[in-house]
Amino acid sequence: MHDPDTELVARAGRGDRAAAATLVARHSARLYGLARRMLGSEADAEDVVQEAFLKLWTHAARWRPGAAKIETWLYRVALNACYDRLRRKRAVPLDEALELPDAAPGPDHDLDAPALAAAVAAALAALPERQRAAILLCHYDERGNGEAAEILGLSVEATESLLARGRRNLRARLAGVRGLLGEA
Amino acid sequence: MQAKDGREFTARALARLGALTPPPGLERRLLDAYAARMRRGGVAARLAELVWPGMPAWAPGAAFAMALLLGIGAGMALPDPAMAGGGGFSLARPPSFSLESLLAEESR
Repeated sequence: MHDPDTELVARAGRGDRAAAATLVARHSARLYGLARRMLGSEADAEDVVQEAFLKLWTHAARWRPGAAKIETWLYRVALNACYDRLRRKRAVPLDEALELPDAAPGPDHDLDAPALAAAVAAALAALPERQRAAILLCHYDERGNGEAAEILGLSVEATESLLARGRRNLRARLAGVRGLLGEA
Repeated sequence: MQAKDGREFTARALARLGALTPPPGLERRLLDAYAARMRRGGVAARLAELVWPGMPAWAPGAAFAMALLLGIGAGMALPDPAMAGGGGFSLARPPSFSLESLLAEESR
């Protein structure tokens, strides 16, 4: 399996700033998107991305191509950093921990597009963290189940089961706006 | 069928979420961290990379230290070949001459 990032990481490990810049340009925005959706906070998401890249720079000089792609490894590091932050915030009430708009949409089905997006974001944020991660990887980041499983450190079957529970949960939480989401 | 519905519903719901733009300056901060990391690695790390590419900096250092210890150990344990032939001078053996014999030679 050819990983287009391997050579870049080797060069970055030898001090090639252009290679590091290419890696950052290639991965930072998507990593940030995932972390932001996981944590709901811009500052925390930024910290998570920095943490992931700092680990990459630390290991760059002695990176050995292995089973995992560099992108997969970066996602796994970022996701673990998200879990750590969520664990630390668990003592704080959810509404304070995640900077969210009001969650539960009413049954009036009268939401404009930004409000509907906010309702979806809130429903997503209310999912258990591993279900949220699985949903984000497969539906927001559009990754295959196999790759998502590798990032989550689970088997494909376990990931599919997590996804199914997450989808069911999300659907239940968005019951009030199903019509607006194209479901009768 | 239900699974397919769930997949499609989730896809439609998440399509409502726009892409999130990273804050301005994030890329620069990541590259600053890279530069700081490379500076900290410094000359020793680059030298180590030259000597033994791809290994952490301690590996060539440890190999050098091990070689040095082996050399010193061997130097102390093995007999000196110059001594083995008996032609040299050693504090461990009494000298093969005495002051008296030297004085006798002088007086001759």
